[in-house]
Amino acid sequence: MHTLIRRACNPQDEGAWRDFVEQYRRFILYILQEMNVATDEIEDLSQQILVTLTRDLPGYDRSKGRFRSWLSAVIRHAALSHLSKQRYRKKRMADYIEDREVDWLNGRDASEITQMIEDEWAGYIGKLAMDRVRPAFRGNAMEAYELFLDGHSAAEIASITKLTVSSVYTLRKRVKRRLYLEIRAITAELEPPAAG
Amino acid sequence: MKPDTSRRLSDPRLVAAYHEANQLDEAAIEAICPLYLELSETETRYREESFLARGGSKEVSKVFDSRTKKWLALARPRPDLGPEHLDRFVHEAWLTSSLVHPNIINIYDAGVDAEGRPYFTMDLKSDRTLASHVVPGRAPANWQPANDRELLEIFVKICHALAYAHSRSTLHLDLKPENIQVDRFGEVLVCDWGMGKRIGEETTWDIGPVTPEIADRVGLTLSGEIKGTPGFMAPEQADPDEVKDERTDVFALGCILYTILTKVPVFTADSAEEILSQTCKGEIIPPLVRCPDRKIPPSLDAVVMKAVALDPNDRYQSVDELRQEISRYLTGYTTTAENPGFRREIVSFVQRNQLASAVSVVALIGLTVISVLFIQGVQRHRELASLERKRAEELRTKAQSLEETAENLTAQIDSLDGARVKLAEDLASSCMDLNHSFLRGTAPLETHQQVSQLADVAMAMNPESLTTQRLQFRLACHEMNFAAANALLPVVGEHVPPNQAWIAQRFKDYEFNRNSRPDTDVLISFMKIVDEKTRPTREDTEPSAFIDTMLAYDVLARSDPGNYGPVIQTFLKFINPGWNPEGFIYNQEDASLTVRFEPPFRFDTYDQAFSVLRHLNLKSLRLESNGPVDLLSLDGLMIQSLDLRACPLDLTRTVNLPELLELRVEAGQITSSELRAKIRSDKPLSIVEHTIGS
Repeated sequence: MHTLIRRACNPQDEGAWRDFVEQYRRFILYILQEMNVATDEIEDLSQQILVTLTRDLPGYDRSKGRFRSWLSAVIRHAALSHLSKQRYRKKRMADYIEDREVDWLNGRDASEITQMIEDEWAGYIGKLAMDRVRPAFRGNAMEAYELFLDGHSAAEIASITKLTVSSVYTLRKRVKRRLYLEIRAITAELEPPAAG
Repeated sequence: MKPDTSRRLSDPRLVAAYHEANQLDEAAIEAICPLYLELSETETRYREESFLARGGSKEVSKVFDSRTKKWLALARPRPDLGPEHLDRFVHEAWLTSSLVHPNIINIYDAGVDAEGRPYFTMDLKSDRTLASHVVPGRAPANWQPANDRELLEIFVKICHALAYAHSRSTLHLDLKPENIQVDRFGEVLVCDWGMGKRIGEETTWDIGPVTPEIADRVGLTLSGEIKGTPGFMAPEQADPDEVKDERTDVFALGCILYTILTKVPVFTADSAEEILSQTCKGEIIPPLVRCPDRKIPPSLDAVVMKAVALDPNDRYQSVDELRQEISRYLTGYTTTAENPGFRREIVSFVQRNQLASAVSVVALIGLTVISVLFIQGVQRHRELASLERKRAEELRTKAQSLEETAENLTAQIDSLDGARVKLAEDLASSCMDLNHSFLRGTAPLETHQQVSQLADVAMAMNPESLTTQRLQFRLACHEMNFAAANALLPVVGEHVPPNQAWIAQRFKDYEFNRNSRPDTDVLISFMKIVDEKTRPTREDTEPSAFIDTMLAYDVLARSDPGNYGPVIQTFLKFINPGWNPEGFIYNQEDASLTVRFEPPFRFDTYDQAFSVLRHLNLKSLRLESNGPVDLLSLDGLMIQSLDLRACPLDLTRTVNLPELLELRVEAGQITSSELRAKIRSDKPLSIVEHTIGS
């Protein structure tokens, strides 16, 4: 399969590489924001992480673990080392300031952070997929599906959307099928394929 | 607080969906999109290959394309051919692929297989080619080859394909029935463009004959110095240095048309060599001469011979010119009334129920026939008796009213069914009128033919119409085809005069038609039987006009008039039961007749239409009577000489004898000015007065 990631690893295909990097860059920026890294440092830090990613990705060995775990480890390491350097610097400059970010990171163990990044990655791919699915459906199919994601029952959705319960089920099935296919497709684009 | 998902790059609600989607197993994925999965996993595109045929340069198999899910034909070069043939093979694939036309085979894929052999795939439509239709013995069992008209339609499609190819500067150069696929749904595909080339292009694969064994066999395409198929290839193809152009394909199309018309090959020599020599000498026997029994239309014979002219300059200069000739002929099918196919064509046309056009076509045909007959009538109106002039007037009115009806119908075409029934009825009743006047008058045979065609049309429009069936009964009787008339009796029996019904039933063994006429003896005995049967009821249902119409038809339809005198003698006896038929002295050689009788005596049927003597084509007539005679019953007779010396006259009414040149009377019998006033001729009439005893 000619996935984006495989094309991106081909040094000849610069366009694919740019597209691929862009998808990661957006995610990394987002994650760093979520981790409350200071805005003026996000750009720098994300560049560092991308350099690591692009250096290591072609050699990534799927058999050693899930891609998203590896990805979150890369980000976590980069973020922590950046923050500890920064704390050290800040301590020297103004050691009375308690750093919110460091506190936030220190308060959690590595697995918790990894889990957070992993979930964000899953949600990130889910959202990309959802954005691709949305234009494919008309009427209130998407509305019904969003309501389903928010935890509403089919009966509630039916009364909100003025659809019959069976229509709600049918629409949910259709959107879900399309969404899952898109998720698989985007996963294949952005994550290295299984070895072998 | 609920997270604002719209601005977030990540949607936590979809985390589960991500895991679920990526953990789906094969079965689950297949449940979501089995077809997509199948397509994406297809690795071997062509499967289930089975051998179909081997030609001069390639072999063709049937394969299943697992990507597009259909059966295709896959062509490969013959394995016994060396690598020098591979380029020609690829050239065929690319040349064919460059032609996109509904009547040219489609190329779907071309490539090189794992063993390095080139292949291409194309339509797999039918194992039937034009050869199955035109080459005797080539048709599969249990199937119906196309009829000539269908074959001509196929031919037109072939022409369309070639005209297109020529417009793309591409020549076929190996056209023959085997290279035209024809399926049973009318699809026609021109195949095997292996010999094809661009106009002016020099092919670079002038390679030797495939194998001597192949080159010797007639019907297989030659390759090498001489390229083409003997029997279809043009003379210029026998010479590698001659220029090949569109007209080279025109020659092959001419040969195909020849085979379509004759069902035999153009050349019949045993070896390819002899055929080539005949080709180069232009020794082609015209289809008409070759197959005189096939009723090949002379116009098509001429088209074939022009297409296969030896010199390209004498052929059609483009395929379109040739195609137009055939199209013109095919269109003419429905307008040429002489064509035996006309009736079938028009009936099937009307049956297709395209009423809007059917109404106009039928009205047009009806009007044309009526007008033509009417004009014929007008041209000869001076020859017509006075009563007939009046009829002609009525007919003209009728024709006008039919024209109006047709116009009205075309205008109010919405009420289709009503329109159809009304038109059928009008047509049939107009035919009834036509038949009345003209069947016995000016043009009995033509009128009969036209009217029966119109009757078939009327029948197709409304098979229920009693008027139409009565018309058909009458037409059958005119021909003395009482078998057909009798078959109609269950429907029309109560609506025709009882005497006619009785005749149809009594003589149902008579099945005469235009080409088979009864002997005069049969006519005489027929009239005697009818006479005997109908005499008691003669007053009410006079059958003499009925018989007169049969005689009018008969006398013109029979190739040998024979001795018709006794027939007319019997008929006069029929009309005048008290008459002694010995008073009928007929001399066939000088076309003269003497009739001796006692008044009252009639020479016409009881409807006063025509003199029955007209059936004899008399030149001179002598009447001998012992009482005054009203000559009106001779009205319209085309005699040149009339002898009334032994015939006292009752000249109260005027009589027309248009051709009369000489009138013999007894001196003092009547004044010549009175004679001229009452006996009218269009010729300079001389009155010869004889004195008694002279």
